[in-house]
Amino acid sequence: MAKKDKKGFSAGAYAVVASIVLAVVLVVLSIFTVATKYTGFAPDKVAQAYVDGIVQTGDGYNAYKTTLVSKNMKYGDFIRAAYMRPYVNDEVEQADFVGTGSTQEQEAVDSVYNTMYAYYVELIKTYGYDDYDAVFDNYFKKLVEVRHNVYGDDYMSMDYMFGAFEANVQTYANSLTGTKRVFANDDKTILTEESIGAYQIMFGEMQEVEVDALVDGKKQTVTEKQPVYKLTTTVTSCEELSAEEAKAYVEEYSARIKPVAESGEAKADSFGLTDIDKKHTYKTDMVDAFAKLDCTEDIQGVAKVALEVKTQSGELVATQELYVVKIGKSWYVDNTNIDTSGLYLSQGE
Amino acid sequence: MAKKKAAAASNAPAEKKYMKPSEIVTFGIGLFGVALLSGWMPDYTMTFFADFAFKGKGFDSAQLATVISSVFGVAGFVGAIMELIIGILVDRTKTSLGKVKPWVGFGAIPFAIISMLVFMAPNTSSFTVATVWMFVIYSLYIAISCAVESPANCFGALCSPNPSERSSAISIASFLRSVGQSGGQVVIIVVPVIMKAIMGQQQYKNAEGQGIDLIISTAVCALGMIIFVMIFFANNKERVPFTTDKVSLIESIKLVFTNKNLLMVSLTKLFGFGRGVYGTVSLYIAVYLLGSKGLKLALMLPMGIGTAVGTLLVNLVLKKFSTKKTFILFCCYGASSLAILYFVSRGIGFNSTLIVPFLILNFFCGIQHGNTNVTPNIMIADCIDEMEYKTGKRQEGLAYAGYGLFSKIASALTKWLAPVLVYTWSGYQFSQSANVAYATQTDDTLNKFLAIYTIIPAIFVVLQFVPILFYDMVGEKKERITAALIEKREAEGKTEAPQETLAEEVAKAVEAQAVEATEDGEQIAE
Repeated sequence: MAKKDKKGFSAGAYAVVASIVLAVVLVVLSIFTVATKYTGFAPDKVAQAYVDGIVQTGDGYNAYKTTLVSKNMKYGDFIRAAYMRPYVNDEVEQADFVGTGSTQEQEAVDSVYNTMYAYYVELIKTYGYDDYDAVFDNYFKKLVEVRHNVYGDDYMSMDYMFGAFEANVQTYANSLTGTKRVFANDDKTILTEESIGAYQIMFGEMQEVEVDALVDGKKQTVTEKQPVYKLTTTVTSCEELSAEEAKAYVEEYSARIKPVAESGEAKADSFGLTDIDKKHTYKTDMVDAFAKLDCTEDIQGVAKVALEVKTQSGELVATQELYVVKIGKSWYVDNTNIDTSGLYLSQGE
Repeated sequence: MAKKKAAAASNAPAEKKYMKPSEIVTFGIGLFGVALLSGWMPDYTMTFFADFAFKGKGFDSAQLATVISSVFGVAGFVGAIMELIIGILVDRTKTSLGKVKPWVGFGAIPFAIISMLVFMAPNTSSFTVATVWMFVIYSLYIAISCAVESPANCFGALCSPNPSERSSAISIASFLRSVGQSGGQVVIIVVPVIMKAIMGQQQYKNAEGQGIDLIISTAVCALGMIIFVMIFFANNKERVPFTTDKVSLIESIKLVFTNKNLLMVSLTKLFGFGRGVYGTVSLYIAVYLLGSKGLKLALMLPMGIGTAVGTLLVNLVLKKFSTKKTFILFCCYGASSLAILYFVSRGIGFNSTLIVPFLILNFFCGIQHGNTNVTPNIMIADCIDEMEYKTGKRQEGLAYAGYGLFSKIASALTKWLAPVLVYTWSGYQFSQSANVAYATQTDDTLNKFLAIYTIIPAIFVVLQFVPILFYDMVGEKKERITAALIEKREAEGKTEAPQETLAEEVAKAVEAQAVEATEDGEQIAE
């Protein structure tokens, strides 16, 4: 195939050597990047991502994606099977304005979302996300009532439930961080006015910042004085438990999770869920969703992590201790023995 | 046998075969390898910069979108300049390996490494550092990819002095290159499947949110690129002799840009610059209309198959019509198919339950790309012959660079236009959560995505055939020039001996054996 040229250069040999060397370089680069970027392989990074997610935006909902809840099932699928299914009623007719994009529809959506937001805030204050069972159960039950009152129909779908819930999660985050002024594509119409968030009031220092403003009827970037803050989450210690300590920990975990994992059947029965046919196994799905929360047999290691949250001036505003467990190569936050109430910084105000 | 050999020898050199069959295949494999990496990098780089590279760093979405537009605009112009520089350097490269092969074979290594580095964003909270990094890394990627891709594409003009054999090789290589462009999409879907199996569903989603799947996919494609390019490097040979006259830089550029036909072929790229905006929005069509980023493959695959079928169809059409007529015919078809896709999708209201008809229409839209992949490359090779005929100088490097220059300018304009359409005009909302890859969009945004995918490219497809109306390197003129060049090379003794066909080799062996046998009576008995 390849022939040596006059000077002894062999294209074939070069091709083989270049391919092997490059393969090694690419593998090393990939491992380096994944190891530095992916948080799931390091206990401290998993804990840091979990705490930082809650503290920056009050988003205890998405924080569960790094916990044991999401080990055996996709988080969204878990919520569908364990909490949404009993309320789904998507074979009935919807209110006639649905899908028209009319003002009436927009007002109905706003009305439901606003009513549910007030309830969402109340749930976070009452139970906190550590009791996600109470948050989801109560939220979706209330959503059915509110929609019925506003729309006048009995329709409910998983998409609608996610839409309302996630909109509330985002609104809650905005209430903490504040929002910027948003212009429409015409650069004249203000779609959303800027708002000052709770964190800006609590931790902000007045600074000059560039913002978009309406000047002479057109969007322009101007300098304004606004409260600016920065919260930084750092890991102060991360210790792996000894084999004996880990074993004891797993036993305690098992005692905590077993009743939850076994609660699916009773819960399904309380909603009157049954398996309709091979495709529609609603009861089995709910039972399985809860059963899959039990990771007792999979845990290979445990680490205790301490974290702190400081403002830009170095003021300590929160501390958190939590346990992360190792399953395979990945680490997960153990959500069964955690108290994150201290991370919802605005709630003490 | 002797009669056969004499007949073969009397064949006009234009009809002789110079390339081994394996060379035609490995030329295609080389282009497949390059396209495997370069085919999907720009689109995914854009989404990586926008959605993953600096997630959770608190950067303003609007500012980031503006910077990304500028990064792609600047990189496009860097590419255009590099195209010219590389073209000039290729024409000045005279080695025992040829003028093109060293660029492809040695350039593949930095090309693979820089591709990986594009997806290794620095961990910074400084918007200035992030901006500088995006400008530098993507411009470097464009410059290095240009140093490999541009010479690889112009290899077709050097692989054989026989225009017909050259056209076949270019067609097959173009076919494999278009397959390679979709091949990258296969990697993008296979890597997540493997990651899900290893990591679990939610952990994969978390990793996806951090762009890990893109990094691993890049590594796989880069490795594939190296292997395929090295197969080409080891097996292929340049067969058209380079002219030895020294041509000054200004003269070179003048030669290329004053050739009317080459200019017209190059202008097709510029006139059709907005065709490519569908590529940028296709990811979002997959995410929002089909329901998953991985389904971009489902979207691109029918189009890729359509492109492959289109490449084969172009070959058939080229046998009946000239390159000029073929180009115009396919452009009219392409614009019509995109318009149909748009009106059908709007008419029936596109949603995830109508994926199959949408994908079938995608296949028919893909057919037009076969033309733009093949026909201009054959036209350029013809233009190089025309230039040699007129001036006595062959300048493959600069001729393809001229075309590449317009391609890069067009690409820069596309890269400028695409984000403006996708991120600004459509009203796209960026994800602000570290755990959510893509934010929810409004119906108006989704409708605009559909227009960017169909009707806007259709307008540019119509525009791109306008310059070809003035192209005239066809028919009698082409035949006359080809014959004259072959005559000239034969007179100069520069044409390499044609490759013996297998039949000829067998015949030769049989003949030799027969001679041996006649000399040895025992063998006759056997």
